Amino acid sequence: MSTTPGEETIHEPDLTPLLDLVLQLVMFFMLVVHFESEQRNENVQLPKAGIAKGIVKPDKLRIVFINVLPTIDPETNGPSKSQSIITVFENTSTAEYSNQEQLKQYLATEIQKDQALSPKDVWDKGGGRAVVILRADKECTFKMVYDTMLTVRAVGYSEIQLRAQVDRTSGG
Amino acid sequence: MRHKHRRSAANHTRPDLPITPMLDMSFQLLSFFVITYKPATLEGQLSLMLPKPGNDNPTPSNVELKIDEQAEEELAIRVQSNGNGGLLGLELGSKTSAEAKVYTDTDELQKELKKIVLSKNADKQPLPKIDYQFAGDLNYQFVIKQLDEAKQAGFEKVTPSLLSTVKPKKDGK
Repeated sequence: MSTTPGEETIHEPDLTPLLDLVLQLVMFFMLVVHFESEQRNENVQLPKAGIAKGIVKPDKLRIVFINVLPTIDPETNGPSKSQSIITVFENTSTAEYSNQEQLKQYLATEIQKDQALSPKDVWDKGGGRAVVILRADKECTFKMVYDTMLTVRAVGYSEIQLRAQVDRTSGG
Repeated sequence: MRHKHRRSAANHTRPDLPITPMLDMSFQLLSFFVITYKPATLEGQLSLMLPKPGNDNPTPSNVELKIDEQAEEELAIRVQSNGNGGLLGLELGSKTSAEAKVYTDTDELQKELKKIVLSKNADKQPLPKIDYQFAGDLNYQFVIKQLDEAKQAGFEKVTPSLLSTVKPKKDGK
């Protein structure tokens, strides 16, 4: 409130609470932008499925995200029918592979880490393994996805989640 | 002589922090993050039965079609591709028989699946498992659509697998 002699008092609104609120919003958006954006490859367009249920967060210490995206075919300029890029996110590390053999080698080292961290009796009963979340682009061929699923199973992982976009227009 | 100047009480000023420029800058930052924020698409997870592990070193393209003798009733739906990733046709049969009904329209197949579900429920019999065999070059979104339709029809146990060129013989061998 400022005053000068002989004039009316000028009331100025208190901007401090407004600034507090704005800074709260800024912090929220800064955190949300970083959250899970690394684990999802935003280029992967998931197919829609009415049966896709809400995600049940796995009660596991480790989650491995595998994103499958077809490469661009230089002849057709469309999605390739044979080549794909497999991107794996685990915690803070990211790795990219172009074939199943490379993926298998990576997963084999990861499952050894799981085994080292789990008690033997838990491991023998099938527990202690990380959950694998498979996010395949809708333009992938079935073989690309199927090969990836078999690779994951061959290495020893038993829990695989297939992700799809929830389609609210269809029943289910 | 030094004249000491004393500030009178009337000239005492209070330092004032300019809030308005800070607020402007905060709004700038907020606008930036709001514009660049991209909400993630709502994702769900699918509940499917996974393909059975084959040999110790499975090569998916060479997986043989094995008939599980202990299996409960199992339907086999073979989904053919038109070469460009699209649907060509569907065949509904059982795993032990080469006889199959052919469909060109997915809606017809879904109606048939719903009939099967209603009939089994009316007879209080367990629903059969469905083994979907998809052509390797079939587009993944068609795969999900088929699995979606089977689940919506009421089948609980649905397994995707790669279409084998080997069909079971009529006597189940």
